[in-house]
Amino acid sequence: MNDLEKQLLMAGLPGTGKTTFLALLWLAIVGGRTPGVKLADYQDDRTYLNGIGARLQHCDPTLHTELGEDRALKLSLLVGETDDPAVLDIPDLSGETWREAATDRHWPSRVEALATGNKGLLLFMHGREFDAGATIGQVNELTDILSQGSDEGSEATGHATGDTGGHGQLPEGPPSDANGKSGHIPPTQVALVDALQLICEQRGLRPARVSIVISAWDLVGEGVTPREFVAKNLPLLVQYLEANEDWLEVQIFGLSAQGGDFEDADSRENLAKVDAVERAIVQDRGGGDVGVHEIALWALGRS
Amino acid sequence: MSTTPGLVCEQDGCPFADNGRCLEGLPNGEGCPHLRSLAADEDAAAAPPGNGEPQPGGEIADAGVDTSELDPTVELGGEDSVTLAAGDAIAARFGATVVLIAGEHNAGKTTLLAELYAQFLKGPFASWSYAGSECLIALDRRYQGARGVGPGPPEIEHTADEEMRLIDLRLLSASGRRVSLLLSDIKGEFVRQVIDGAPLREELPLAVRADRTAVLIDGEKIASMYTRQEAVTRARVLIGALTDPGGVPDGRPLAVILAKKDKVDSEGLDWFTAEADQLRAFAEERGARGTTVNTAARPDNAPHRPEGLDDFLAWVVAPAPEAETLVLTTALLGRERSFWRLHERPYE
Repeated sequence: MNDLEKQLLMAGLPGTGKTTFLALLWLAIVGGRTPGVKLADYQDDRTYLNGIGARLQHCDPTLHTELGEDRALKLSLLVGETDDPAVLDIPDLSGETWREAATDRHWPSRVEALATGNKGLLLFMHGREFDAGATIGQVNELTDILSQGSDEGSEATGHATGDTGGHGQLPEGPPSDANGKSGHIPPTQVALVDALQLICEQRGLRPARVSIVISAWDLVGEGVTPREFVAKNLPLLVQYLEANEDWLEVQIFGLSAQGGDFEDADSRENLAKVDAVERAIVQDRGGGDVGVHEIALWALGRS
Repeated sequence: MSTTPGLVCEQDGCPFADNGRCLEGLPNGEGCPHLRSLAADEDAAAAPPGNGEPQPGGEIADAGVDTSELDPTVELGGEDSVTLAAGDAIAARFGATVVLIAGEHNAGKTTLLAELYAQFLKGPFASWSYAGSECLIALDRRYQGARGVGPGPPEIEHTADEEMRLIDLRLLSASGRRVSLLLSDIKGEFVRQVIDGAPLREELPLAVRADRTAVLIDGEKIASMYTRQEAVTRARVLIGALTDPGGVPDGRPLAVILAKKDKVDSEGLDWFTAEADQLRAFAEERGARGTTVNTAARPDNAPHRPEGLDDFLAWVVAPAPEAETLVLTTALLGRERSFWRLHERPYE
């Protein structure tokens, strides 16, 4: 990697919007709608970016994995008021890579190299589909309520939600396999802290910069900022960030790269009428609208 | 156009493998029903999740880089408690307060640790915040294993390792004080052997190094008038063995901890309180700084709120009674177990 190359590591479980983010970032950059960031030239291989960008523009609800494509955003850019040259490189690692890291406790050596050599981290979670990690006490309380409060004799299942308004469900208890691997998927906030510890604390450079991206932000609901969302739903993460703020600089973003639901026909039709970059929703921690490139710039230390 | 290694077209005459052009005219062969993955042939493993499936919230699925191709893996660790040697490394980085939690099988050692961890899942606990742990997944695995599905008492994953291991937990207080804890994660069998007369330095060498020692007494044993006397007697023997010359150094804190307090009725609790006072006094006679703590880490009865965990934590994080000026180093002691000294405490 040369001095101009700025590599960001993008981490998140499957379905947390990493590829959609890349598609939106590409469309915003190539469309000239990223103040302070512009293409230096048009010499980079854009096959993959053109492909995922087009699908975002088409409001394509199902993207089949394009095996064999060059899966990365790698662009020669001019950054800042002084047009500093930089090559932005964001490999698009499979969400399964991160799932295996969380559950099986290993990752490919290529990811190890990325984890130790990146300039910043983009950490993704889904704004609605996440495991809040209810405690046993909360489960037992719920069990009591269900067993006492139902004339129909509702059966307590042990599944419970956290304080998230009903989005978190308990995974089944994970048996260890023959290799002693637990196989269990930790609750989302534990997985996020684990990722930060693995990438930033145990391997990465210090100080570290991280953009935490809450995807599908349109599904979270109005009246809550990304910061409030994290404070309410991810208390362990909040503690970890505050306890390590002397070296770990974090910005939180809410992102709806699609701007709405591509699965619903009416919604999709309405969304298709709007420019892909325009219909996207990107908010900073306080709920202010920002450009999608700010997510990358923050992690690069340029914001 | 990029090439597409790893893909092959099954349609006769298609030049896809040669130049990447799809006979059906589809860019990159996207959506072509004749394309298949060579990797999929070699390994019948399913394609990465997200392939072709609508993702939650309708976001485009992660396309992802295929990292499976002959890329050696790097073990990340963290799914289990750490060895004493690994504890050395943690302590060298952060400093450490080593806490020996000594209790017989099923006394509640693992539940105590797991529930202490679980308090931080809900937010700061007793004015302390989670600051990091190399054993995060190990803690969550033990706790989440007990969160399993279905009514009835949760099953805890008891410590199974044959060697002494440690749980690393770093905390930050509301006042800004940092502590790095190394909490023992050992089988009750070691403790039983010490009670039955095995040399402390062989069975529990951690006792010599421990900054604090907690002697756990099973509340279920105290709840029964037929087993309570034996439980207290065995605790007394354990305290005696721990505080023999060459064991827990003089002046170190030692807590008599009642676990599963929720199992004990008021009569039993009164009986135990008197007995615990005598155990504490005995520990002090033997040179330790004694105290007693009653806990119900995971009470069965509503409202299922842990009791005494805050007291336990306060005892664990209390400033050391005397200034420590040592850093961990490893040396051999009996059966090749670690012996530690502190000479630096950057986390204090």
